[in-house]
Amino acid sequence: MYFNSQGEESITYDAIVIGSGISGGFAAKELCEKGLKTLVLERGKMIRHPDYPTANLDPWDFKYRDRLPASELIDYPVQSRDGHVRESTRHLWVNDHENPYQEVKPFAWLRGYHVGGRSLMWGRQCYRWSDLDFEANARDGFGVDWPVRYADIAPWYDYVESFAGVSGAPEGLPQLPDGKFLPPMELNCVEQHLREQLQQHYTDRVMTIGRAANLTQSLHGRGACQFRNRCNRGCPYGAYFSSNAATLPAAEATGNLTLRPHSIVHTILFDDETQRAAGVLVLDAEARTYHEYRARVIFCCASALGTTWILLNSTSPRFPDGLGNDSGELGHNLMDHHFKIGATGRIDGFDDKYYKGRRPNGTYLARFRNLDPKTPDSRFLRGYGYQGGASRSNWMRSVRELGIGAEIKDAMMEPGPWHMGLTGFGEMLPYHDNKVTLDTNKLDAYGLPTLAIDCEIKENEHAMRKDMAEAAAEMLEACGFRDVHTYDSGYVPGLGIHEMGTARMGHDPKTSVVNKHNQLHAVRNVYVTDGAFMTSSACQNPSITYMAFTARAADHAVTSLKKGEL
Amino acid sequence: MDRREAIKRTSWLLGLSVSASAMAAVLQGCTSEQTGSPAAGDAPWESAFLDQQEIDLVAQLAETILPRTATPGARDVLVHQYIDLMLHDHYQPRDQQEFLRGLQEVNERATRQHGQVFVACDPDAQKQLLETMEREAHAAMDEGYAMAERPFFITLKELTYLGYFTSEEIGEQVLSYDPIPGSYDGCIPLDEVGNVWSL
Repeated sequence: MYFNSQGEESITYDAIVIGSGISGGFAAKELCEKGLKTLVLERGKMIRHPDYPTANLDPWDFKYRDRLPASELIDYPVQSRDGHVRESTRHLWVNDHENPYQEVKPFAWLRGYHVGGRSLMWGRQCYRWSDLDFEANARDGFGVDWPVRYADIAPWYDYVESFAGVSGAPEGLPQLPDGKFLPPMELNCVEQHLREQLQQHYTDRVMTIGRAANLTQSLHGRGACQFRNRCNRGCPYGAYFSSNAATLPAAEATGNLTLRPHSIVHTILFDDETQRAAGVLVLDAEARTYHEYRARVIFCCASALGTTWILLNSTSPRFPDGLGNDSGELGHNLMDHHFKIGATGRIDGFDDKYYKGRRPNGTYLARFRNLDPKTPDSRFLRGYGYQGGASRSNWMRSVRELGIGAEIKDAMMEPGPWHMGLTGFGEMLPYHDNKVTLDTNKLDAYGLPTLAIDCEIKENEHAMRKDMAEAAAEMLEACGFRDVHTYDSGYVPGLGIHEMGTARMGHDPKTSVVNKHNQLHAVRNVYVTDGAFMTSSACQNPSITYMAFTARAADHAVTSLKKGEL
Repeated sequence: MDRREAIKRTSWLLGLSVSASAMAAVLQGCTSEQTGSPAAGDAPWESAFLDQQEIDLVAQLAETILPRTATPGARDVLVHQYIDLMLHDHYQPRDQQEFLRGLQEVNERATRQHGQVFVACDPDAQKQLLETMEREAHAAMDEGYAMAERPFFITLKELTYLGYFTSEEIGEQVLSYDPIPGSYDGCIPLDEVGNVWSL
């Protein structure tokens, strides 16, 4: 299928893409389709679509019914912090002992090293940004201004959505622009009820079905969703967007793709004469040998922290503090989305209703705070949205309730009460002192330096969280739910798995790392299109925005190459 | 009773005719998974953690929590084997000892109240004894016990439920099983589904 490059004659490509996740896969597709011989370097192992070994297993097919025992969780002290590591998914998460980093403050760096990266494990939620988000930094002074506005990126959202396939319902909301949607999945009875009740009780609360990169009809040769809700194991139907199922096959079809797994990029090589990157130095993770590859343009898509590690590690007389780091901002302004807080409630009147199918998607309640810059909320800047959903509980409810024996057992064969949950996902401001640095004392399994991560949420996020819980409870109560409880299950930065911002985009080379085309200000043939370029976080899940900027940057790179500008 | 018999009894109890392919799929599990008493050629199931008396006790405790009715009981689906495996592989030594102490306490209570160990008591006495333990466990949790000190009964009940409801027999033949739904219908009459979905 793919072949590894061998021999000196084949070390030169038109383009190198570092990383094969959401951004890297998209960069590879775009560059290959535009005719560039492209080498994709992936630090982890090969995973070929549709080779997902646990995709068709039921709970009883696993030795422990899909609960990983302590003796095996021992390899995943960080990755298992939020329940992602199970018998069915463990092979997709990194071994923490082999991939250490330092938590100056608690930070969960959750990731997988394999072809496809986190595009195999992502939550698939896709929400466009609006100018409310692109203008936020300029408005309140946190971070630097985005050199991009919605009008610049809207056509690229159209473009990537049309390829990736995003199901959703248009709502006409200015703060959450509609996209090129496939037919939406259905709300269930109770979700529909809440949507209608919100419209009755509020003027500014719209809850819609999640906009998800799950195909509700087949697209570009990929199959439609079968509603098994086993996306996090890899989908044999290719029904959700992943590099493995979507972009890498498209790249491969051009004949221009070379994919090299087990390839850890050590440094990007800087050529003083041309003031351009000449190529990369790669450590073969299996052979433990170093290899050099050369190209005219390099795309950094190794994830925000992976890319930042490479740039920090790429020092030279011209860039003693890391490639392209004239501003000193490289590694700073780390952000995530804070969540794990909200409210739940029960509702009566739907006991004769149920659903069929396991929908791999929930509901989305669009941001309603600080929409009008003229009337800012006095408690916090910016805003949040809610992800959630309603379902009927199953037999697990009985474990914590009183009762044993025949009657209880027979009752547990039937679905339990309907519950609705709302979980806030909030914007995190870009703070200069939330940062990663290179730790040359603590080395990983390959003897390479590691990252020290120093990140926390501050007053604005704490004030927002209070409102995220209270507003959720208030809405559920107003809409007829009972036994409404707020909850806060403890957010630690990183758990959102949306780390971003450490090579931010901006107008000014003195205060930012990349320009409006995602190029390093000072090294124009290096593009950063993973989460590292994000100048602010907004509150929307970021992947579709990475895709849009990646496709736009690839277009810019190819145009610039043709003009001889790189 | 071995797994093969348990499955046959299950389908008999339910008055269901299990399709040949479903039966074959379920029975296939017998060859890869060890069972209570061996069919010809199978290796006998050996406990990993509990001794025979403890296995008998756990099997009866689980059966008291989830007894056989129109549907199989905990013993029918070998919940005790799952509990033994989980105790051995999932639990830290401290929690294993807590569990063993809990088993001991069950027998002490039974002996105190009825003059014989738990498995020798009649089913009503067994149920009453466990109901008392459950009420006490809830009272203890209401007073704010940390999870690390969760009462024995809660651990027992959770393991029993997990072992039972995630078993193949219950998951495929008792609960509503739909491995590849193909579509999502968000609001349909409950009657069209019946029992709770297993997946």
